[in-house]
Amino acid sequence: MKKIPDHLILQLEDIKQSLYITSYSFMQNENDALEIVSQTIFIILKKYKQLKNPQYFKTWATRILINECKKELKKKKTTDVKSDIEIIVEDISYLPLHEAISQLPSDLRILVELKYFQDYTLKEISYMFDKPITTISSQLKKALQLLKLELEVEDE
Amino acid sequence: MNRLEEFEQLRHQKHEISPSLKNIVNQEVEHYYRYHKRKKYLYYPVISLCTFIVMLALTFNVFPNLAYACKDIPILESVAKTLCFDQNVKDCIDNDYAIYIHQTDHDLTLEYLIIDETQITAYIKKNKPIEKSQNISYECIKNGKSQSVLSSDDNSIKIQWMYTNIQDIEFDDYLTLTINQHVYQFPLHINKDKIKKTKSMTLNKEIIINNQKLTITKIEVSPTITKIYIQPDKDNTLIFDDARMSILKNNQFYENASGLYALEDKDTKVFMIESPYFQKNYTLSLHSLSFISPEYEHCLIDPSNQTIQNLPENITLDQFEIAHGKIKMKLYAPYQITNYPFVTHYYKDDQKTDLSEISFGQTEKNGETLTYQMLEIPYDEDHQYELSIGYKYIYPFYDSIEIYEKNFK
Repeated sequence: MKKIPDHLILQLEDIKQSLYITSYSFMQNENDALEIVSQTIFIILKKYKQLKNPQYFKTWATRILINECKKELKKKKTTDVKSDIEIIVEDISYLPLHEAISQLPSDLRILVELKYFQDYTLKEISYMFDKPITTISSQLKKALQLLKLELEVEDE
Repeated sequence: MNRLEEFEQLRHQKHEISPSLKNIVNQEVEHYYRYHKRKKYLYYPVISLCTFIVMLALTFNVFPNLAYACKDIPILESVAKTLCFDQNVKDCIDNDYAIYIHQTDHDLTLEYLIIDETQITAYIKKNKPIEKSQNISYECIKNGKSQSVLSSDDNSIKIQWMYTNIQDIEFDDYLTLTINQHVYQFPLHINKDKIKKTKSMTLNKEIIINNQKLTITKIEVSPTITKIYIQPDKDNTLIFDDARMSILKNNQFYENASGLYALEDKDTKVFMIESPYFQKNYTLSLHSLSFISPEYEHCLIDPSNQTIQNLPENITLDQFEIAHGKIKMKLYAPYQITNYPFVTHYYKDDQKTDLSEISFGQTEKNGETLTYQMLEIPYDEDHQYELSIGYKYIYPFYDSIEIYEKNFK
């Protein structure tokens, strides 16, 4: 068994907060968010040798986290009555911005979080979600429209 | 405050971070090391062992000779027996009187031989159907007196050679089969010194039923067959004819086949059943005994009254006709008494004569199953004719004899 390199532990320490915020944004509760972060760190430790380009470490780690969040939400959706689609039809524009964001469907909420609060580029987000940039872009526009927020969607 | 100002304020607002996040990396690092330890000391060895077993099973089943070769190696013997799916190989490993051969010559494969002191059995598999395979001749004994029996179906051929003692037999180097003029040859390697010895046990157990006394004198067990010797008492009034018996082997009852007995001497009869040779203890059960009455040996045919005198109580005469120098008769007997021809010979002026033709069958009459026999006897009115009726008394009888390996010699 090889020892985990120190630089990997340092990198994990650096990104753990960002992972938690993203996870919290998805899961909307502390326990679930922590659980997902734990799982993500464990997967990163197991698979870090598969990462070909270390400069994308954070993006790669976030992608793993998003997948874990999606899996967890999928599990929970079988028990939750209220679906994302039901939420999307409600008018949330009158709410304070932080409340309005939290009322967004999880897919849109996470896009807003990643793009405007964690400053990921559309390219990075498209890699994380394994979706084309155009899809991410149109989903972001939809989210901003719901929030009545006039921000730039395209990358600089 | 407009939406954009709200957004800017939110962007610069500090997130509340859970205190549990502080040690989360260290916790997961420890979890990872524990996981690796489990993998190293548990998962890998288990997976390696499973892989090894699968590989071994594949090897034993692709090369059955290799599995058979393991039979003399203590632990490998059990492993080979467990992993090999071929029942033939399992049997051969289990029983060292069986020689696994698995040798192919064109369309036939000699799978294995079972050899003991009194018989050799060859099991041959047909790899594809052989047309008109009833024209089979076979040879494996060069010198020595033996009798052989061949049974064949679409998939296999079984040949048995029976002899008194294997030491008197000289085997050929090959087992040769000729089917439709095609010759198949399989090399034979028989080591007579390695043949399992026949085990014998003196019993002298007396059975008395309806004033008839029988003695089970001894039992002989060889790997292929059990022989039970039964001697009737000289003072019996009935002739001992047959016995039904069974042994329990591998949770299955094996009975002696009807009529599968041979006269050992003038009085003693030998009954044969499947062998329990490799079982330590077993039970021999007797189910019924049958006797023939000598009083129906001379039943006079009375042409004037068209009857037969002294017929046994249960046997009825149905037809009686004299025409063209022949007496034609039809007799009925209850199926329980016999399902075989019960008249095989007659007397013409005290001279015993076998029936030239025996015609019999089963029929239903008044809800009862009967065995009938048609008789046709050349008739000359100047002579006296008597029928010999093999009338059987069958006595249900149950007794079980516990047989212990330690009592065999």
